[in-house]
This record gives sequence, C-alpha cells and structure tokens, in this order.
Amino acid sequence: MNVDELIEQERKATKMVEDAEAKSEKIISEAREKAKEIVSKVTKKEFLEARLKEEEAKAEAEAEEIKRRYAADAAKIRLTPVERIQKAISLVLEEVLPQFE
Amino acid sequence: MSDAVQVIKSEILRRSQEEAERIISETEEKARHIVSAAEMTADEVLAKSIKPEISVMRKRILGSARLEGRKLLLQAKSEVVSRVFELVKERLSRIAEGKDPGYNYEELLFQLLSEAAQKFEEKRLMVTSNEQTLSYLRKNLRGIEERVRDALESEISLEVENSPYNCVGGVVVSNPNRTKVFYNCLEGRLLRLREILTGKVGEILFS
Repeated sequence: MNVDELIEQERKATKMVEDAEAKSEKIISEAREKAKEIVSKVTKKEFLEARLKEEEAKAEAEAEEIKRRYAADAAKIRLTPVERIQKAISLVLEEVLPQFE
Repeated sequence: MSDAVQVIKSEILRRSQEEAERIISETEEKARHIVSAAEMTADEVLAKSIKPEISVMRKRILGSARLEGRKLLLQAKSEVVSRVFELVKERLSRIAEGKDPGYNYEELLFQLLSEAAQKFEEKRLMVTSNEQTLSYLRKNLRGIEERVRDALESEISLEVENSPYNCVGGVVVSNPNRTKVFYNCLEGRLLRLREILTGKVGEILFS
C-alpha cells in the first residue's frame, strides 16, 4: 500500500473541508452584513419616505378601484327599469290625488 | 496503484465531500435564518415607525374614496327620484288638461274643492285656479256648488275669482277678505307630500 498516496489524499480531503468551512464563514458573514443592512435600511429617512410613497400609490390605486365600482353602481341606478318608475309614479299619484269616497 | 489503495482514496474523497456539503448546507440554513430574523426585526421597527402612519394614510385615502362613491350613489338615486316627481308633475298636467284617460279631472276638481271648503268656517268662499279650470268652474259653478253643499251638508256659496292663479290644476280657496287661503293645487299637494313620499319611492325604485 502506498502510504504517501493516502496521506496526500487525506491532505486533499482536509483541505476540502477547510475550504467548506472558509466558505461557510463567508456565507455567515455576508448574511450578517445583509441582516445589518436590512435592519439599518428601515431606519433611514429615504427608505421610509420611499415606502410611504409606495404605500400611498397602492392606496390610491385601491381608491380608484373603489370609486370605479361605485360609479358602475351609480350608472346601474340611473338605468332603473321603467316598470319600477311607473310603479313609483302610481304610488305618488295615489297619494297626491284626492281619493273618491 | 493497487485497487485497495484506490478504494481507500475514494472513500476518503467521498467522506470529505459529504462533510463539506453538510457544512455548506447547514451554513446556508443558518444564513437564511439570520436574514429572516433581520426581516422580522425590520418589520418590528417599521411597525413602530411608519406603519401607524401608513394605516392612517390608507384610512384617509380609502375613506375619502368610499365617501365620494357613496355621494355618487346618492346623487344617482336623487336624480332618479327627481325624475319620478318630474314625471308625476307632467302627468298631473295631462290629468288637469283632461288628456289622461285614467283620471276624471272634473271629479278630482270637485274633491279638491270640497276638501278645501271643509277647512273654512265661512259660508261664502272665493275660488281661483288656472285659466282652463276657471273657465270650467264658471260654466259649471252652480252644479258644483250644489254638489259641495250636499257633500259637506253646508250652505256654502262659491264665487269664482276673475284673476287666475298660475298652477297646473286644482284650486285655491279663500274667504272673501282673504285672511284665510287654502292652496289645494295639484303641484302644491305634490310638493307637500314629496318629502314624505321620497322614502317610499326610493324603496320601490332601489330595493
């Protein structure tokens, strides 16, 4: 058995694990940096203003939709069927004109 | 190289690869957790800073839209209700002109006159109306007077005024010195009842 070969292989294996650990440290470090940035971002004035504007735009869009729905309902109301209008006219006439005894 | 050495080398490689993959996988999971925890913290920070402001802003914008929308609905309903009352007024005009076969204006006039005469203690009453009605009243005064007397069981005497009153139909009755006047015109009756009837009309139209 060639011991040197095995020692070399073991050395490569150790290096592979060490590389993974180094990469792991880098990943954690980047994650911590990103986390720090996420938390720090929400305290910055520009972010807060941008977020407010974004929320305002969202609310305005929802408001437009609400107004559109109401306008559609109002248009339907204006198209009240003739039968109902006639029924209402009959009711008013009945009340306005004197009743014969 | 012997096969045995090759097998051991492969085993060493396999184990080290597995170990490296485990380390990276666990690290990535930990990194995701760190970011996710930061996002939660950021949400908490936002909740304490601008979320109440956002909530107030949303309520203001959406509330205003709903209010505007409800105004549109009310305006539309009001337009339809007004249309009904306008149509009734037109119909009353046709009735007073004798052009509506569903109503006998002369009979209605008698009822309106009797109803008005009932409001007076005086026996002598003055009557006016529009030109057309006045003309009819002048021609048929004695007969109408007789019917009113019979209906009210009272010796009422009616006089038709010379000056017409601008109305769709119906009558305006007064005592001779005009200290007491009863307006029993069709559009006046409509006007008096409009507020009371608007609810019922709305129910018929929109329920």
